[in-house]
Amino acid sequence: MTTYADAAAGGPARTLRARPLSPEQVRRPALGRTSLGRRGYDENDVHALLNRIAAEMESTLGEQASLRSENARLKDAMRQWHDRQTQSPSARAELEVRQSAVQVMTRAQREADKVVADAQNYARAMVEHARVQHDDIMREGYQQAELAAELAARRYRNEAGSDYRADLEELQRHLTWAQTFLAAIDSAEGMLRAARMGLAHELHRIREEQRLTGD
Amino acid sequence: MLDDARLKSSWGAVAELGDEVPQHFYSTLFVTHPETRAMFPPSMAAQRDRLVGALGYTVANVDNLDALVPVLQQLGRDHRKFGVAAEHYPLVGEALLETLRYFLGDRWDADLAQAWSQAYTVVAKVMSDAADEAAQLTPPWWNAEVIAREQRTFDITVLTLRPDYHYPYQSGQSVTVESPLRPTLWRHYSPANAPRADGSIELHVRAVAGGAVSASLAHLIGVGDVLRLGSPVGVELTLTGRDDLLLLAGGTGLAPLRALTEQLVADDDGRRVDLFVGARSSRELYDLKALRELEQGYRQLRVTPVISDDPANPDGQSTVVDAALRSARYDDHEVYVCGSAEMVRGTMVRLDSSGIARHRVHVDELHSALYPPAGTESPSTPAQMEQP
Repeated sequence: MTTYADAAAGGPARTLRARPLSPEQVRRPALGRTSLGRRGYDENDVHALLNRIAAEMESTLGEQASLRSENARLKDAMRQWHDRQTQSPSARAELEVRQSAVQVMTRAQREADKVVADAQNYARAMVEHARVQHDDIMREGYQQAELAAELAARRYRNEAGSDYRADLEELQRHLTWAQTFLAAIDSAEGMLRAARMGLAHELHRIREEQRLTGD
Repeated sequence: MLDDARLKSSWGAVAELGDEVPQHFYSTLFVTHPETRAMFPPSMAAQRDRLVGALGYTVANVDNLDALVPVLQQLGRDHRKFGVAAEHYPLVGEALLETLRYFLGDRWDADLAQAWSQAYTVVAKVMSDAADEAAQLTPPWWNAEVIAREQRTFDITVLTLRPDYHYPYQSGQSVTVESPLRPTLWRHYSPANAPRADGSIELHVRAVAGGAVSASLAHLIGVGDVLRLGSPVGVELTLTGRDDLLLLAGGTGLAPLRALTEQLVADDDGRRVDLFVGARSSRELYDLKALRELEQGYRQLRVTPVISDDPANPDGQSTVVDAALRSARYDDHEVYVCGSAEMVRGTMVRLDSSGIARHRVHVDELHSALYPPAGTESPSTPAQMEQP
C-alpha cells in the first residue's frame, strides 16, 4: 500500500517512474493515526477535504483530456490538409466522430465518479455523526447514573445509622443507577424513534425501487 | 530484450501522465464496444487504478515470466465471474493500443506497435487459457441463496448462504461476493465456519459507513435473495505446523479465525487455541454465543472477550493484543491476526516489540478493494474503507 510519504518520494525507484496521484488514491489514503494523547484533525473534516480535492482533480483531468483531444484534432486536421488524397472522407469523418464520442464519454465518467464519491462521503459522514451522537448520549447517561448512584448510596449510609445493611445499600445504588440512566436517555428516545422510522421507511422505499427497476 | 526496454520506457512515459490514460482507455473501449460498459460499475475511479496497477506490474515483470505468469493466470481465472469471455480480450487489446498511440504521439511507430501487440497477445493468451482450464473444474460464479439472516448489532448482520453447487474452500480463505442490489461490485468476506456437510456458508457482514455493498448486504438483503460468489482466495490464514495457536480477532475479523478454530475441532486436532475477540463494547461481541458453544465442545479452546471502548466499563479496557500479551507468553505459538487495517497494524507493532518472530505471525486484513495494487511488496491490502 502506498502512503502519501511514498507517493511524494516518487515511490520505489525501480524501472518505472512513479505516476501522479489519481483521484481515487486521494479519496482512499493510507493515513496513519496520531498516537494516543496527540491532537489530530477531525476525521469528517479530513474526509470532506479529500473528497473536495479529488473532485477538483477529476474536473482538471477532464479539462486536460478535452484540451489534449482538441490539440490532437487540430494536429490531425493539419495532417489531413496535407495528404487529403490518401484518406477517404468517410474514414476521416468516422475518426472525428469517434474522437468526439470518447471526449463525451470521458466527461460523463468524470461527473459520475464525482457524484458517486459525494454520495458515499455524505453517507459516511451521516453514519459517523450518528455514531458519535449515540456514543455521547451513552457516555453522558453512564456518567450521570454513576454520580446519582454514588449520591444515593451515601444518603442511604447517612440515614440508615444502625440499621445499615450492605445489600440494601447495593440495592439503592442499583435502583438509582437504572432510574437515572433511563431518564438521561429518555429525552433522546423521542428523537431517535422518529429518525429510526424515517430511515426504515427510506430503506423500504429504496428496496422496492430496486425490485421494480430490476437492478 | 530490446523490445522489453522499449515496452518499459514507453509505459513509463505514459504512466507519468496519470489518471487521464486509463480514463481514455475505458472511454475508447466503451465507445467502440458499448456492450462492455455494463460489465463495469457506474463509478470507475477504483477500476482505473487497478488497470494501471495490473499493466504496470505486467510491464515491470515482462522479463520475469516466473513471477508474472502465475499472477496473470489468477487474474484470468478471477475475471470469469465478471462474464469475461475469450472474445473480449481482442477488444481490450485494441483499446489499449489506441490509447498508447494517442498519448505517445510521435514516439509511436510500427515497431513499438508490434512490440505492444505481441506482449498483449501473450498476456491475453495466458489469462484466457487459465480461464478455460478453470472452466473445466468450476463454474464462473456460484449462485448462493440466503437461507438465514440474523441482525446481531446495529451494523453487523450474519448471513447464512447455500451455494447452488459444491463450493470448495478452506477454512481461513475469503470469498468474493456480489449483491444483486449492487451488480458489478464485488467484496471479500471470509466464511466463519469450516466447510460443512450441507455446504452452507456463514458470512459476518459489517455495514461500513458509506459503503454501498456492505450496507446492502447488512441491511437490505433478506432470506431468499441470491448472491453471487467468486472462487475462494487467500492463503495467509491457513493452518500450518503443529504448534499451539494464538488467535487475535478484531470485530468481524473474527470470521476466518472462528473457521480455523472449527477446523481444528472437526479434525480433533488437539492443539491448544487461545482466541481473543475484540469489540468496542460488550454489546458488540456479536458472536459470543457461538464461541462459547465451541468452547464447550473443545477442551483446548479458551475464548477471551476484550472490550476497548465501552463507557459502561471504563476499567478493564484494552486492545486485543495487549490483553493477550498480558495473559501469557506466546513465543512458541503460531499467531493469527484478522481485523481492520488499523487493528492489524497496531497488533503487529506490539507483537514485534514483544519479541514474537515475524514468520510465526499470519495476517489478513478486512478487505475492501477487490484487487490489491499489483506489484506491491507489502503483504497488506488496502484498508477497510469501502469503495463506491
